[in-house]
Amino acid sequence: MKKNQSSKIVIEIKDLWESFRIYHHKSMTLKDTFVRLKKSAYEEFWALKGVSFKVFKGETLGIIGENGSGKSTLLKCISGILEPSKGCIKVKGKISPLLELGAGFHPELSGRENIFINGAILGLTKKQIQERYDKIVAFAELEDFIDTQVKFYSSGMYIRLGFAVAIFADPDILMVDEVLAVGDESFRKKCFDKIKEFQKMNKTIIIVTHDMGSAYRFCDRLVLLSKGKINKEGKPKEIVRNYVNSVIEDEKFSEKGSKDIVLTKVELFDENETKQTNFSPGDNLVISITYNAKTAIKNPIFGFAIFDQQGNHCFGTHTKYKGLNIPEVNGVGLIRFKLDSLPMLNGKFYLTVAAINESNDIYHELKNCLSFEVTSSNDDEGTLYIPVECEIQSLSNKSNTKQEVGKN
Amino acid sequence: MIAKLIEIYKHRELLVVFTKKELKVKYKNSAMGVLWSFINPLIMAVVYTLVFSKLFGASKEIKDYPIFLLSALLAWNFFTVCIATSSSAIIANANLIKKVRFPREIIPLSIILAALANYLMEVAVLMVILLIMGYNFIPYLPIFLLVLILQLIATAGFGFIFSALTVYFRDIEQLINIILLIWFFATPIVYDISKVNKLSPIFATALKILNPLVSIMLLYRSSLYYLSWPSLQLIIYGLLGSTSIFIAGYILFQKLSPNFAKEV
Ligand SMILES: Nc1ncnc2c1ncn2[C@@H]1O[C@H](COP(=O)(O)OP(=O)(O)O)[C@@H](O)[C@H]1O
Ligand SMILES: [Mg+2]
Repeated sequence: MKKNQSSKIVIEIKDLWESFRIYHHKSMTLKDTFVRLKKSAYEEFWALKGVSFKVFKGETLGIIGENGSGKSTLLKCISGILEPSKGCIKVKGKISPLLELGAGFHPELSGRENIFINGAILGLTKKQIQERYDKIVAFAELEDFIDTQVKFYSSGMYIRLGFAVAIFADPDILMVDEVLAVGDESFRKKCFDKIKEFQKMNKTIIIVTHDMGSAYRFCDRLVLLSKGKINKEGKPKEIVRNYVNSVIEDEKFSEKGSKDIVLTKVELFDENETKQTNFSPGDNLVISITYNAKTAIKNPIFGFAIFDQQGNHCFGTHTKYKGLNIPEVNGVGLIRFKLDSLPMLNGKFYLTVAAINESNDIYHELKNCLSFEVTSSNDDEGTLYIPVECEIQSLSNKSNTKQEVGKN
Repeated sequence: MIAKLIEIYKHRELLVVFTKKELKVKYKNSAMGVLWSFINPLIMAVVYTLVFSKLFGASKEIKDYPIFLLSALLAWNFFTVCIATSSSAIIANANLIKKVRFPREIIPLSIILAALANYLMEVAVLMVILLIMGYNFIPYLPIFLLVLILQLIATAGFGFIFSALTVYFRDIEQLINIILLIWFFATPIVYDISKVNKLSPIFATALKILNPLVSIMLLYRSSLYYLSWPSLQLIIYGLLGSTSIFIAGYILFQKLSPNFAKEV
């Protein structure tokens, strides 16, 4: 997926600031205007505070961040809907923005009429729209409803129409804001296929999403926004990890024990021995625990447990269960647990580690000292990761389906 | 300013689409559709004629009062529709404003074009009536065309002003009907300006200068009713009035429109 980004910049943003007025009264009236002469009736709120980055031709850039971090505001500035308060934005090429719920349809008019209006807004001539009309309707799967007023559309239909028009407007730069989170599964799949097609055509794409899975899968580069500033920018792998860490404050952490043995460091590694807190189902994982025993301690036991977000005990084991007898520890050392093939599908998990003696007295326990995230890269559902192969075998001779095998 | 005008010109196809949209939305839910645009002025003409010519005896001084009235009333209705629709237009199109980029001027302009389509149909009917009644306005068509253009320019200016201001002062949407009512009587539609002139010449001049619609209505009247060439002074008043309103409205709109997406 990596293209030769021979430094052809299509979007350049320099020190972008954007503010909104937050009014003390919900709607402004003439009275407020006179009141405002005396006292300011609004506050300045900075949604973007000095954002700078570049987007290269053919690249798929993901913008992630918590709610209210300014992602939508940023896209609106890029697409020219909002005027920046400060800073500059340079854009080369035609943008098709698809912001939040659909691209602004007129509820009183039919789907057909809205296609023509939206096409015109996106810069298509009437002739171009007519040429693409059938494809748009087919892609949106709205053949039966195209003459219905848009106000009677379900939100899924609305999104489908919006996405279809944006896609067929043939933009140089496609921007989608959270749109892919809505709509049914099959349509999402279609959208993702279309996005992949755009990627193959070397078009520039900006995706705003809070779905780590799709950010991870689709993007060449991620920008992490937090409170209107770029927190981090880089390869998806690093950023997703960073995001996960900054979102989960380890407020669940606690420790206890006699501290005859102190656990000084706990780390998670992937199979390449790089520090990691973000995994995929089936990954191998290493838990590394550093201990420090001030005096000689006989027959210690080291263990760990994994809890999910709801606090369910998913798994736990220790050295004795695994047949590792430790006659004595003294000074500093390292315990490593190698976990083969993580069986979780999705979610956040918390790690607890402990050192105990034969009669379960705790030397040192670090509860929820680390968290890690498992993100599935396919559409399987549920909590467990089960590698599945599927096959079909027709037992009658009516259809000519041969045996086929699907695998993920 | 020139760059912006070029951008609007580039989006002329969008302007056409929006104008059609305005017309479609307008007639979508009414069974009689276009007919209303004829019935409304007809009823107004009957009522005003009864009240002003019969009750107040204007018919003694003004020959063919209904013609006198309609030659200005249709233009006034056109103006009213534009202003009333413009003043809520940006908010009504919030959905579009917040989600797509296009020159915001398209919205008030498309409203004017849609209303113009209506107005021209009404005027066509009036012109037929004029010819039947022996008013040969044809030599004065250039004046009619001139004043039509002046009215479009002035209406665009006021359309910019009201559509932009309402975003910031939502009260205007409620106030607009009162504003238009006062404005109606400050414009010589049901009465003759010469009467005001007789009472107070200064007041009449002030009206002409402060209210650009006065000269527009007088120009309409001279081309359709009086069938005489207007004074150069009147044409200059009209020209200056409408262009200055247009420029003022345009500048205000440029200043306020970049923030529409934040405020709606
Ligand atoms: N039109 C507006 N008026 C006032 N505040 C706004 C407006 N639009 C967005 N904001 C504020 O700006 C911040 C960023 O919003 P947004 O860009 O939508 O965040 P995100 O898309 O990352 O969830 C939020 O705190 C939001 O309340
Ligand atoms: Mg958002």
